Amino acid sequence: MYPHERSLVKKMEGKPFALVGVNSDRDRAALKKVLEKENITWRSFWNGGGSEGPISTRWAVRAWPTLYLIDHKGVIRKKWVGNPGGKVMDQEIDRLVQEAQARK
Amino acid sequence: MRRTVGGALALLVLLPAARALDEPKPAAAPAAQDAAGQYKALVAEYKKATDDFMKEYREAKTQEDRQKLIKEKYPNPDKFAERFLKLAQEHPKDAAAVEALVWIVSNSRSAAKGGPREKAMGLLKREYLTSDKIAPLCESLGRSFDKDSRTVLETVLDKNPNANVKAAACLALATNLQYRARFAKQFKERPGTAKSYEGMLGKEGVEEIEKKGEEGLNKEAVKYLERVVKDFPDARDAEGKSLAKAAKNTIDGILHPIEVGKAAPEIEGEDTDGKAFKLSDYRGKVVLLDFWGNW
Repeated sequence: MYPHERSLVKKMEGKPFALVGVNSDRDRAALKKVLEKENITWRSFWNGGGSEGPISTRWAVRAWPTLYLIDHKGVIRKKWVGNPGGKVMDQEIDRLVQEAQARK
Repeated sequence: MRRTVGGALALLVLLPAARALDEPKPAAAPAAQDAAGQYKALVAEYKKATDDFMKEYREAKTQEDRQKLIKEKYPNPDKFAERFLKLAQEHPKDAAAVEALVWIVSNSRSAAKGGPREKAMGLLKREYLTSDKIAPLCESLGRSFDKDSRTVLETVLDKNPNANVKAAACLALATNLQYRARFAKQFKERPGTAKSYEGMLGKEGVEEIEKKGEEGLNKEAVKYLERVVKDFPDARDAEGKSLAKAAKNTIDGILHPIEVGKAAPEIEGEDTDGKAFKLSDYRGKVVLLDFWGNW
């Protein structure tokens, strides 16, 4: 996922789009190294150190990765359990970004 | 196998002393371990056996090899359960007895009459439901569909003097009901599947689920969760996390499920560096919210 996410973030620079993570790792120090090594520049919420943390519980996430696509008004428009692939993701994101730009 | 692990542990314990004497002695026959030590050694032995098995399993090339491996080397938790049971029976007053019995209930899946799981459950019910060490038992029973799981949890909630354990039992009762609610949903969506779950849930279990339905079961779960919030505001789990907070969160999830087409609920949290931020900080932008982990 990381390479696609990196190019997505780069491609969307300056557009009304943000990639936000919710990270469920256990070890913060180890995660820090991964963020550096993989050049993960986008922000992640910390799920409290495990897959049963408060955010994933509230969002009923039981498989990883799970992705939610939220539009500019804060409405959930898509949910993917498992990686749907970069092409599908890009398509849906582009559509919603166009919506956001059109209503500005 | 037993000797190897015991020896290694004993060596670790002996090492500092040996160094202090400045004349390393050969690790003599390990001294008789106390119950806690025996428990730890057994847990370590099981873990090693499981890890070794998994490693070989991953490396096995053919289906035949895998089958053979399972037959010959799979570390059967029921075999270990016998030894945990023996430990508990030999040291009934030791805290390790409760831990050993809880290990059996959490790991052994065999429902055999007179088997170690049944015996462990019997002992726990008779002797240890007021112990302050049985919060993990509650967690395990929350995911178990044995006939008496919920009865045991009710007893713990009622009789155990420790607020953390009581809250764990209450939370586990809710978890159990939530699982049943998920089954209710599945039975409704795919009629005919209910019958195949009778082995796991029991005939009465399936009937109850069909009668109460997803909504009814979730409603019951919420009652237990509200009780955790109200009656045990300070209760914590083994890692020090608030159970009331977890319960509150789960209530929100049941009453306001997150669905496509609905507004995303707020997330107020901190980032991986500990800095606070909110999901609504991004309002006006399209957000791809990615639940991820590096594992």
